[in-house]
Amino acid sequence: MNYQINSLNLLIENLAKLPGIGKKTAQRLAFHVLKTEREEIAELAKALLAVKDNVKSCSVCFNITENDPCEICVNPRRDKTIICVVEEASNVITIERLNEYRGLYHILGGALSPLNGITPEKLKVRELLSRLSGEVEEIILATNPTIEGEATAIYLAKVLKNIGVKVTRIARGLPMGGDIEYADEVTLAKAIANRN
Amino acid sequence: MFLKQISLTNFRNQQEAKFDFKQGINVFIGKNGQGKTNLAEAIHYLCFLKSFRTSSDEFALKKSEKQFQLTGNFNFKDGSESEVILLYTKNEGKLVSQNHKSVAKFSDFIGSHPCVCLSLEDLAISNGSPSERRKFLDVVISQTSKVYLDSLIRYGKVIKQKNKLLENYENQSDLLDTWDEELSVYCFEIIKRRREFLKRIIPNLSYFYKKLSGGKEEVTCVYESSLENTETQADIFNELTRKRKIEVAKKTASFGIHRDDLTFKLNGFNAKGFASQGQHKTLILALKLAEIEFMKSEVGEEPITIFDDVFSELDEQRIGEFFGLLSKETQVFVTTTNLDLFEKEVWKIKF
Repeated sequence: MNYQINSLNLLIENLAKLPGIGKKTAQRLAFHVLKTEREEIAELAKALLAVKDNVKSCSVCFNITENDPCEICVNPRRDKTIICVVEEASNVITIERLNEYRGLYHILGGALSPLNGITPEKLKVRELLSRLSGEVEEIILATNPTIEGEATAIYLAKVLKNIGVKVTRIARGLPMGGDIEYADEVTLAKAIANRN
Repeated sequence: MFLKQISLTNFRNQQEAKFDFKQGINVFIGKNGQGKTNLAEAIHYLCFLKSFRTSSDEFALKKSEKQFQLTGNFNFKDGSESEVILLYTKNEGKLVSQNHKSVAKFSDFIGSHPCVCLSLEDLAISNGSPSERRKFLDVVISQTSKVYLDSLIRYGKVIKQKNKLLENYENQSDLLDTWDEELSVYCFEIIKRRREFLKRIIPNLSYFYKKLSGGKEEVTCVYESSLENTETQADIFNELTRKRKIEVAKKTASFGIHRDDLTFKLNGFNAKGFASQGQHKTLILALKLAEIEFMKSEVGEEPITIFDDVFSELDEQRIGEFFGLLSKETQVFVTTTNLDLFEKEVWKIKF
């Protein structure tokens, strides 16, 4: 079929570049845009640009923010003796949703991976170390349980050990409210092996 | 467990076919090139979600077709049933469902339909390269231990990262420490289970070998690790650190479970290089019988067994002895060009 409408094709091509969106979904979204009122699409376009223009990274913790330093870093009610180290800013949103953690964060911006050329210099490790003077008593390593996340945690634990700050790794185990019968078998095996 | 029925669509040379099977011995009989092995391969697919002949699913697709589908109906000891559907499409790869629930992670499925497979290529377990012996260990133990399979997958990923680091290595020993520490976690889990497995099967291996050969030769099997001290995770890490110079010089990860090996010994002599062709074959048959016993006791279920074209050079008496050592409940699939080799009461599928 050679039937082509240039501006529509351009939109489909650009949508298909987004993560998790294939050609078919991109086409469906593009047709949805066609059918939607102009004002609504203008709002969307404005929001897309606003995110790019207004959101920057916090110069202290490298979380995403509109004000630098970010709200978490300047909040006087946050516990400044604990820093939770995560790979990405999206991890902060997940942990914040829990409303349980009251400390500060540090976003590394990824995990160690020689295959992708990610060295400690490319992560915000030096910046983490420079935050350790004074009040900080504990560092929680909350990198992902992927092999890269584990390596990053091992690396940081080694580096931090020399500094003398308390280092902890988030626990792995069974999801609460889950039935043992339906638990991931590897997780269950590890939970039994590492029982306390 | 046994496979009651299988349906194939556009698989290898079959456009549309359905076969009913019996518990006990099922013989696929026909001339070469008729599709006996294809059917054995389809059964293997339903248990392992992959072929034993090729690593590319596309080869299993019938010429000029876009997708193939396999459906297997299994019955378990406790009376429960399992319908496994595997659909392969050129563009989207494999989709698998079990009892109409989609299988998202294939590694979760492995071991749920235990299977022991022996094809001509497997004869290389005793006289081929070390990778054949590691593959043998990995296929059996992965079906009985989720931690093993998970560790194996993670180990492979860490090795890739470590190799990349060694490729461009510039004295970043702190980084190598990091990856070696993680590597030693999985290495330990794997070595421990490989050793346990060998300990468990050696008595049966020796017993079955004596039965099959009618002789008195003692068979043993030794795990040959590329690391000398592997008692604990810390031992493995220290060994890796000790051998680091060699790895840095070679620019590749040269120690660990991906370089380990097994040695089969007949009366104390290394089977590789010492045993005759006949002894090798007997050794592999005994090993497979021991594997079946191991699987039975670990999974609590009779594994399905596939023997593809491995009996052609054996005499009738030897084959009779082999099947006499299998339990009546074990479902067996055999491909052969010569039905005379088998007793009359087997279930025949002609090609």
